[in-house]
Amino acid sequence: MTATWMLLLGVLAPVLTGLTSMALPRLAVTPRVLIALAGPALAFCLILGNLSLAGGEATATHASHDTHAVESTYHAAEPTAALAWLPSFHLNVAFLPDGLGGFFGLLVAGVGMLIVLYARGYFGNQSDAARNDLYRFYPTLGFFTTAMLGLVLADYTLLTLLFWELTSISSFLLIGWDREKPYSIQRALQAFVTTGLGGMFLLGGLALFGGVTGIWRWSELALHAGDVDWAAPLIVGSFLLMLVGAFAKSAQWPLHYWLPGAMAAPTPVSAFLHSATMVKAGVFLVGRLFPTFGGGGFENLGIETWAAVIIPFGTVTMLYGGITAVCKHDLKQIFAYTTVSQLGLLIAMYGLGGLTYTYHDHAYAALDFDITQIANHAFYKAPLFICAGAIGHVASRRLPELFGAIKQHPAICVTMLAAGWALAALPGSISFQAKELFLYAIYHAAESRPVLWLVMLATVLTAMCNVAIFVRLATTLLGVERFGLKAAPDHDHAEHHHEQEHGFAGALIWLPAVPLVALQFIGGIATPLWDALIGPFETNVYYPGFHGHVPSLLHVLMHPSVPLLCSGLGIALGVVLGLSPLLRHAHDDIHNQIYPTAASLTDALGRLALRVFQTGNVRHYTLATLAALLAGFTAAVIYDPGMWGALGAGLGTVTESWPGVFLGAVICVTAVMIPLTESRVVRVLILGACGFTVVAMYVLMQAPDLALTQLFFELISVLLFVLVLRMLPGEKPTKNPNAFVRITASVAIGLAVGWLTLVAAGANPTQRLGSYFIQNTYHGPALEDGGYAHGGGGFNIVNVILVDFRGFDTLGEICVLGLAALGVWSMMFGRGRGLPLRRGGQRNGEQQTTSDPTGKVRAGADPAPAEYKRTTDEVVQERGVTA
Amino acid sequence: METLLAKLGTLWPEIVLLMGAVSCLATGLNHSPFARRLTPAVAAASMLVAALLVLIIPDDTVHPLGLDGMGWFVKLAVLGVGLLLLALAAGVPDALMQQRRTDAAVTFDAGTSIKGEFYAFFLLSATGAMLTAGATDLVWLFLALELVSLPTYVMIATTRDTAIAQESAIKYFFLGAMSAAVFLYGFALIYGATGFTDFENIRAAVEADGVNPLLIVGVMMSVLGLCFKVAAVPMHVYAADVYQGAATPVTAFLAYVPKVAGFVALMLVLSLVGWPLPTPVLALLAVVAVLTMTLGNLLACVQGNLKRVLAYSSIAQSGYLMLGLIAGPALGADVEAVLTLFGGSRDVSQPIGNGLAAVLFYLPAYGLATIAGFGVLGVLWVDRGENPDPLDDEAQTFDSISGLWHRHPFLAGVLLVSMLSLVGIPPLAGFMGKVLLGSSIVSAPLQTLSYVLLIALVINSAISAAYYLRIIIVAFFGRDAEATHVRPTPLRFAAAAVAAVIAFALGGHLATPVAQSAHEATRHGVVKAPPSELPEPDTAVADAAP
Repeated sequence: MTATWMLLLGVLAPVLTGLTSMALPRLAVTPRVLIALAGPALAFCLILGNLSLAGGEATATHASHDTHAVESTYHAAEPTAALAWLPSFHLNVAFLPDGLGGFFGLLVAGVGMLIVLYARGYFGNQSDAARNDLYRFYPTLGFFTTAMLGLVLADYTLLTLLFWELTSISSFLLIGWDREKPYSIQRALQAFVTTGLGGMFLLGGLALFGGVTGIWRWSELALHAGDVDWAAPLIVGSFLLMLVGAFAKSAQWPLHYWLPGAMAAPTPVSAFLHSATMVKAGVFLVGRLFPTFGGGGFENLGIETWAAVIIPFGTVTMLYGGITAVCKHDLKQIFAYTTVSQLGLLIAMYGLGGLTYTYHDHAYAALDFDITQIANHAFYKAPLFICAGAIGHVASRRLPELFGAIKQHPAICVTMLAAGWALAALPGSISFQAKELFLYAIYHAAESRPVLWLVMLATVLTAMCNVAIFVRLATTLLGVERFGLKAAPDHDHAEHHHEQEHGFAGALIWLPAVPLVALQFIGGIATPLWDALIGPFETNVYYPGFHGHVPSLLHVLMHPSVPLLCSGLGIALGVVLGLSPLLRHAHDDIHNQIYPTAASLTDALGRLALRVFQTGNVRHYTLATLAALLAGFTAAVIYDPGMWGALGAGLGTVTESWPGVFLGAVICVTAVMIPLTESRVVRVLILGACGFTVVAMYVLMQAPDLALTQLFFELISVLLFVLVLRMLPGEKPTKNPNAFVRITASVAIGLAVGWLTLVAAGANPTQRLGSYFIQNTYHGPALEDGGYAHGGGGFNIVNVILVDFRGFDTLGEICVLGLAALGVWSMMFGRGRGLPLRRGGQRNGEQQTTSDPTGKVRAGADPAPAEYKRTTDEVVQERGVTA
Repeated sequence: METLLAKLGTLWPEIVLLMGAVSCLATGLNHSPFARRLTPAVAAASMLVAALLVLIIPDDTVHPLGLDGMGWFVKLAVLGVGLLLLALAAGVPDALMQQRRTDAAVTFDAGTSIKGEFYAFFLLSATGAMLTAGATDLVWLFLALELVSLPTYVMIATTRDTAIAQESAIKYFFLGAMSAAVFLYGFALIYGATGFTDFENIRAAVEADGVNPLLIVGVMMSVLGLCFKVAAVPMHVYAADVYQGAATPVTAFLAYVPKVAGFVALMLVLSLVGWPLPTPVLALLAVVAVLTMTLGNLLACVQGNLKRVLAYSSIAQSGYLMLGLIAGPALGADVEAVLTLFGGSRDVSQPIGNGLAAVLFYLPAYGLATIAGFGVLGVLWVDRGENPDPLDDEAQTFDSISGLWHRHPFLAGVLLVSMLSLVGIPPLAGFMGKVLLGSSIVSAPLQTLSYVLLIALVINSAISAAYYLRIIIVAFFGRDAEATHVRPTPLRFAAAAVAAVIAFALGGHLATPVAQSAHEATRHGVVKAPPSELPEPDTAVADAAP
């Protein structure tokens, strides 16, 4: 329990300190930085103190097909105890600081500290605007850091999702930092919608997986991996859904467009979110899934298509990002695309892990030291962004404008070149070994699957691009006349600018890059030290040729192999490309059009729907409703051919009563005439005729009481209708272009409803509600002693129902009638002395709406008395005005 | 007689509300201005008493369709959220007279300016929603639904003094009457097919004779008609016009109370045939759900009027809610064995996987977020100067909330919570609702259809993020709108704030009890699982079952 609380504190620390920093006065910059720094620092310590790593040795040497052994392996990393939060939703607070999660947590907290310092250097202290930026930056950054820590540490799948969405929100705020610029907001929105879409897919995947298997915790997933049937379509479906989420977040082709777009953010954001942390969330998720969904190299685990789905996307992303990066001039754009490329590589790395190869008669997963490869990227990409921001501040962010910049800004340029060296994966940096590891994995996996040589080719080409970028960077910054890029400065900078500070605060703009770059070279040169640092986090170490350690530079160079050859080839080609005149101009990425196109398509569809459905005309709305009804009816007829039979049976009884047929025809004719006539009054009269024919029908069917009621009702309604029509403004003759459509629709709906009535009349359920009344009207059911139970004691069934079976209903109706009468009375006699009569037009409108669709008598009765009170002058005046 | 009295005994909350409505008429149309001013308090008091009665009176009736606690849940949901709606609406009728600039000054009279009958209609409509939840008979259900709708027509027409309000009331009335005809016809067909109007006997007839085509047609027509109440395609067309035309607090009312009644009625009608639904009904609901959410979101994207955006958003949300109806209640023991991979892990006592519980949970979650949104709009007013404008002084456009954050950060915060909850961002109520809906639809034995519906939900959520976020962007990053002011209506302000706070809490600790009681209310819903009717279980899944 304590571990959970401690980690919870660690997760929340950044946002808490961020919010605390808001309490400081705006001028207090240094305390603000220190307080903001305390959050990630505390988080770092707390995570470090509560790591729960798997036994490294046991996993490293483990390679068995045995399911039970698998379980014991995954058992090693224990989650912390769960704090009940929302047990009904399978959403509680528990953390899993295992190798992957713990490493990511430390990475986020560690880089987070550096970014806090860098933001101080970046935004500066000179102006009110800068201090305002800092004032609002630290809480937002803290919010993001918290979200990210929660994401990587959470043990409950839904808790991961919760923090996943929070990273989307916080990154939206950070990308749209420049609120005055529509461009920034638009890019932020693009990033949010894209990653949000991914988040929703992830929700779908997690809900599907949880719903099917009952697994809602990552630790449970590892524990029960052997019980899950990985071939079940539902499981594969959930995997694909989750994968879309991961791909959207980790900017995999073709959803990668949001990442370069997100470069609209200030550079501290790019350095943090878009290199080391948020974009790695997708990689993290795939890493989380890998031991179970990916199979971790065990035959009875994992989804078969894991590698086949993941590797192509990863490879395409890697290659596409690499090539596009060469075609960019803006430093942040270059690094954004190399990030896309590297993310593709990391995703492909896990994809390869789903494949196995045979080595000395044992099967191994084609994946080694995944944490090292992830760490490697973070340790050079964040410094590159930091330096890009720094140089953008003091000079320019466009590479051609930085020709020979090393003379003016030696510290920044040297740091950038050192990080660039790692970007190019040249020997001496851990990047070199990381790329070796990846190449080895391809090489191993390709042994039995020749198609993977394409991945090898793509990797070599990507390496070439990265080296070329470094060469361009180096020649330009160093000012090599022949090879460097060179252009006149363009003063249209899109960057925050302020006077360069001096001293430590000024150096903070590049200094935070140094420790990370140093780690790169420590790893590259003193590899055992790296092993001691990162090794405990590694869980996927399989290839025996590495003896459980990240191979040192010496080890790699002393063991000539195909991967080493490919690596060398990549470097050589890269140098050639970098020096060559090829691909020297900036090009746009066509994928930038995806989001705007989708957005405008949505917009166009919306407008179309608006035009078609939302005309504002009640007639069209009615038509839509009737059309839907008809469609439903047609579907029912198609679904159940018995409807035809019912129709035939219903029509078969027609010949029984020819007068009935005649009256029915009259009803139909009058109904059709209503839309054909122009005058309102005539229409009402025809409607009345229709009603009176129905009365005749009742008489024919020997129901005089019904006929009387109907007659009375028809008389009153026609009279009232005509009376009301008299009050309405004069008619405007309207030419109706769509009469045909309307008549067709009316006839069709009439036929359909008539058909249904026939079917309903023919239905014969075994028992009916009405049979009770028939049985009990005079006396109850027969008793055993020959008598009858107590019944209604009447001969007229309607009367008995009214006063006996439904006596309370009748009472209620009498009450309603009384109330209505009271209402009429109050309107007729209370009006004059009470409230002042308002203008005629409004009175009219109001009274129409008090009408009541079920009680037409009242609806008609209400307006009439009020109208009587109005003088003829008023009516005439009103008509004159409105007509 | 005894049964009638027993039935009346369960209706005390409704009776109290009716008495409250009559009292509101008495005070609201009184000659004394003091009594008129008292009317909202009378309405609030009767709602509070009704809520207390719901809590106190033990509900041990056995629901004929197995939805034992649903009445209790829905009544509380209507009354609880209804109190917020009342706070939002309090003062709407008073403001009416003051809005009219030219002649209001001349004819202002406290006697006419406080229109107490509004509160009576408000209470009547709420009573209708509560009665809907307690319905055990088709006739009752129909009358209750009409009781929900009829007062709303008047509420729309009388609370805003513009032509557009009159127009929307007329539209609402016509289409509402037509939809009532459609579902009444459906009810009649159900009666024709089974011979009964009360649910218990209908269920017995269905169990005895099976589902016959006439019953299916009847249910389909009822569903189509009820689509009007929940603003679902193809009966959604009125929503935007009516929501725009009505006074903002009334719009909030329209977006919640009729929708609750509609979904409860849908639940009851669908329970008559039971889950898994017969193919035609299932197809109809699935098509309606997908069309509703897609059209709603697409249309919302192109709107420039906030009330219309929220109207379309409410349509889209109805589409999400339909998923829960398709999924149905937690499936019975025999179906569970097919779905669960290893024994006992899926706990049927948990709400996850119960579509009806998801609907019941999502309704207040959606309602609170929407009310908070409309509440913010209701608090604002726009000074349009001397320009005669059909929109009078309501804040309706994006411009009117532009830069709200700078002047009224609190209101902007409420708006933020509301919009994010509607998107489904954790840890807000909307997210929890979407978790429940999503997991219920995938737990239902629908095979490919589950995926289609789930993906429709997912993609639509992403589309909706675009327009919800646009509102936030305008409110937070936009240029300050000079002409927008805040009304001196602290009650309305408080209602919006409380709605937002509860939406927040409903995504936190409040989620468990609410979801749990929603689950308890619906877990015994009608599930028929004859093996032949069920889709073939996935072979792989079946193999894995121990």
